[in-house]
Amino acid sequence: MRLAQGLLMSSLLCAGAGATGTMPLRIGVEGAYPPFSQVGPDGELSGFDIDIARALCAQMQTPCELVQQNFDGMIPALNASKIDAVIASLSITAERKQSVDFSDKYYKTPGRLVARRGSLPDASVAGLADRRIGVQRASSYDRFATDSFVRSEIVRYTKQDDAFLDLASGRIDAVLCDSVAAHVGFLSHADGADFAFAGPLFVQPEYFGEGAGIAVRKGDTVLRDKLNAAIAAIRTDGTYTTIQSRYVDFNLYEDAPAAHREQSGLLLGYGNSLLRGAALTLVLALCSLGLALSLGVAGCAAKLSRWRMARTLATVYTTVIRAVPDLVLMLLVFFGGQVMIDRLLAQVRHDAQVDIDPFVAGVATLGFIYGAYFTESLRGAYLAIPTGQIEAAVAFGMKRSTLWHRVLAPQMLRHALSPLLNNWLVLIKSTAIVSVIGLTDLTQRAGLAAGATHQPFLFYAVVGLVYLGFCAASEGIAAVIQRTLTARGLG
Amino acid sequence: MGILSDYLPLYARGAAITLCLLVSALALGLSAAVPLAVLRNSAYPWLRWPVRTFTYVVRGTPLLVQLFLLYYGLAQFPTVRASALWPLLSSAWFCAIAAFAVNTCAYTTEILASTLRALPPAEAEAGVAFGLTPWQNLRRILLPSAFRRALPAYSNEAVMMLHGTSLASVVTIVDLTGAAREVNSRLYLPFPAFIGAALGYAAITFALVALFHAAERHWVAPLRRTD
Repeated sequence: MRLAQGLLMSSLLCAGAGATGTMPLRIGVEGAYPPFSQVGPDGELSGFDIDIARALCAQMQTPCELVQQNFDGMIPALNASKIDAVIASLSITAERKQSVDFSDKYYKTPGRLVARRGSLPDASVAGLADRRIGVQRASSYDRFATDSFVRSEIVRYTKQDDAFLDLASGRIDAVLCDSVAAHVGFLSHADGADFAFAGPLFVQPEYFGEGAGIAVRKGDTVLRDKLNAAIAAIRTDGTYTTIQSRYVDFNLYEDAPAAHREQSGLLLGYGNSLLRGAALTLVLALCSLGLALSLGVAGCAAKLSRWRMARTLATVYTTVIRAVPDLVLMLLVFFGGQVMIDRLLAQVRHDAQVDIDPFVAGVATLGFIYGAYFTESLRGAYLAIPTGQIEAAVAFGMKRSTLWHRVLAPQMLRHALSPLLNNWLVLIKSTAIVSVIGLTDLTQRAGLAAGATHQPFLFYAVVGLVYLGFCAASEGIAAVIQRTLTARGLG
Repeated sequence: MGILSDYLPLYARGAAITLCLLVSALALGLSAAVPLAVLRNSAYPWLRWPVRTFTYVVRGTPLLVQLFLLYYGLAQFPTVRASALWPLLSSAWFCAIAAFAVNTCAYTTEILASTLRALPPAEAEAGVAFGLTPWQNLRRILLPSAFRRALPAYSNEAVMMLHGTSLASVVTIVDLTGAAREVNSRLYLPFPAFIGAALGYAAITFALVALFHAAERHWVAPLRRTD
């Protein structure tokens, strides 16, 4: 049990590390929409959006923190107060204005279709019938394509890069996206050599609005006015032109910086990034293990308790948790948990704020899910002890604590070791899905590297090997524990 | 939940797709697992080891990574894109079902193999005493017996696979989870969106569990009496 306590402590420490202290301005950015926003091998964010964000912060003389988010989670995160502003090439549209307020525009470029050269002679609705068109999920292009290309199949991606990968491999016939993003993120790469723009420029303001703006929470006029003033200031003092020339001019006349980055060193220079991701994955798994063990002990105690209430509660917990997929629970905790916490806090005091970041959401969800499995494993270990032994101990006049210490706990450890190892192996593999809610763990970093280098096989194979290593190491450690127990006459 | 009424068809279609993914993956995985489980227990190391390596690698890596390797990874190679298999590999459906089937196949192989190893030796001996050939013994006595005994463990695997199919939403398939993500990205209402999907999964899980319980009553309970 001392082990469980230690793990609980460490999980609390982990949770503490995820919360924010003093509040800089938190700006949501994307990291997978080159050239506006991308992540390099060193894990550094770069791009037009990023430079604009930094210039605006410098102009406003405000400390800023750039928070990387998946695009479809951006507005939910803003409204859940996880971030204060979004600088992610977000088009100003009437629909979005119902959920958030926008600054003035900070750039505007037309949308275009990208397709294999000569494959789309007719880009009208009829010409696109039965074609598969890729868009980024929840983007303006998603809405426009869904409403306009009614006879085509719309395929939605979480990341723009994934849509380009599928276009290159021929899974989709065209991608509808921002023209500059297409030019720099795809057409100027080797993969994009056979592809070109097709069809007209799409500028319909009812979809693409007045250009890309910075989103702030509804009613946050103070921040919006400050941002507007800052945009106007960098437009007049030349900062904007400098940043723009760094991307648009450079990109239109030369190759994209991403394409010509020196790709050398371990894993094309992404070795360090993946190593940091692997470390985060391991910490995430260990923190979840601590929480799951604590919940497992509590759940097991409740299931064996004399109180019917506790038994019912524990049964509901283990039944419900084991009936719903990890991914659904995780999305629910990440998107929904914040909404709930905000509502609860608003009733207590108005200025209070607690954030759920992907790490905390991941630990909470995985700990909660595997707590249910651990409950069953521990209960099984308890039931495996013959009742005769307990009766004998009671007959000997052992106190309850002595009974646990001398008879139950040592034997439960022996019976529980193998099922707990199995639970742990499933848990550690589940950490991969935390990448879906945007944690920069091993799998997420491999995805970003795959998008930038166009070598997904290499990077995902490395991720697989790392997980295999984690599992093999866990089995090795469990074998050592088993041997130690055997040596002490408990095996 | 009234807000979701417009999206009910989307959820219903998603649930149908989830079921379709599940049934295809389980059927393919189980069919491949039966011969593999026999090979896994073979007396010849050169038959045993490849199967063991396969199950070890698949069971030691996350399903999400296997799916990404198949979907994005293979498409990286021009030879794959030019091959006759490409029309299949280019579909998200095929990749998802293949990844899920390979995954469940590895787990099912281990379940069946360990059940086969744990069968009472008397069953095999009785078969031999009746003059059955090894092949007849396997087909008539050992495999049917192993199927019955493996049922409780296999029902867990089927539920795990159901939960695994939610990853299809990551590679553009609009299954039950995909439907919930689409609803959340349109309405920005995470609770109704994801709880709707969770209820769907819970219903399918309970139906699966009930189905397996009925199967156990039918096939495993008589076995217990004679044990």
